[in-house]
Amino acid sequence: MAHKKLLVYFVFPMLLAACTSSPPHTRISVNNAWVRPAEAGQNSAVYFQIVNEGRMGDVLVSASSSIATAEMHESVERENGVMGMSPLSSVDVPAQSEVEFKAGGMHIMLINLTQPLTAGNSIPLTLHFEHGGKVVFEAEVRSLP
Amino acid sequence: MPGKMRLLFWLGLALLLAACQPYKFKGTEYPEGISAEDFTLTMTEGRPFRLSDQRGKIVLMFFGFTSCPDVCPTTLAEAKRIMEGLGDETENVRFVFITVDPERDTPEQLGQYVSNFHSENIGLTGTPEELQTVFDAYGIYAAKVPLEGSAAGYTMEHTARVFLVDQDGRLRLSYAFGTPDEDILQDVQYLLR
Repeated sequence: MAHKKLLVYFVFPMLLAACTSSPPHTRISVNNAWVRPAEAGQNSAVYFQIVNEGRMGDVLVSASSSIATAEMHESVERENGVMGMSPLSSVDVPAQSEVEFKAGGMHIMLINLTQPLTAGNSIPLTLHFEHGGKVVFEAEVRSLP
Repeated sequence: MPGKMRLLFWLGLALLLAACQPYKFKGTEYPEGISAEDFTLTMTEGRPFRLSDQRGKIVLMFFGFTSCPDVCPTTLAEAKRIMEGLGDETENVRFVFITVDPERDTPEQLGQYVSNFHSENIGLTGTPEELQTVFDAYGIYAAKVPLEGSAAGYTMEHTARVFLVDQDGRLRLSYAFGTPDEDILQDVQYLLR
């Protein structure tokens, strides 16, 4: 009987606690990453969604790649259908939110590729977050989302 | 039963009326009859390209540059879908990409860049003066903007619309950046009828 009581009052709550354990401050994942095909020496752009399931916001501070210089940029519409591009120094990723890098918007620009990007292949990319540190992921080479 | 008959009648009438509606273009229309300013630029393999030689075909024109990682490839990828959507009628349409960055875009680079998206794409270049004349004729803004601290050096801010010249050499429509490719395809297919 004592054993059963122990189970009910001690072990069971512990199990419950384990299931509902509080999430770490930031829980960042990167989904649906893709990158445009390009020749060596050319530029390209990487797109993805950053999901922060954590209870604290984080800040994307930089990106890096082993095959090109990686910079955070945003395509912006100026006046009369003129498109421009602005470098981004950081991107906020609030708690419980999704931030999208997409065609015609925010993207990681790959500058001066040391190798061609051929459809069907994948390349690794690293995002650096202020609190969450490094997140490494693979981006698939394709011409459309 | 009479209720069902009545429903059928109204449905039929609505369908008939819809069929009688004139086609509404998805793009921004130019006033009827405006003829597209003629120009001659150089194709990437060195041969001249004259717009007025393209009569009988629809010409889709876009102005961009090959170091452009986002806006230009997005438009070229859409152009590819339009060409694919045209099937057998692809031969009646030309997609032309005119550089706004002749300083960096060598003919070879330009050719490789545009044909990576579709083998039939045409890349055009010229002297800065030749290009400027075309920009002026089509209201194209193109300016070099330095990107401080960026390995890209500079970017070109430029008009990112797609222009449509019809089979009779008239400037008919233009499309804002981000227009769904289905919309442009529909307009092109209507004009080819």
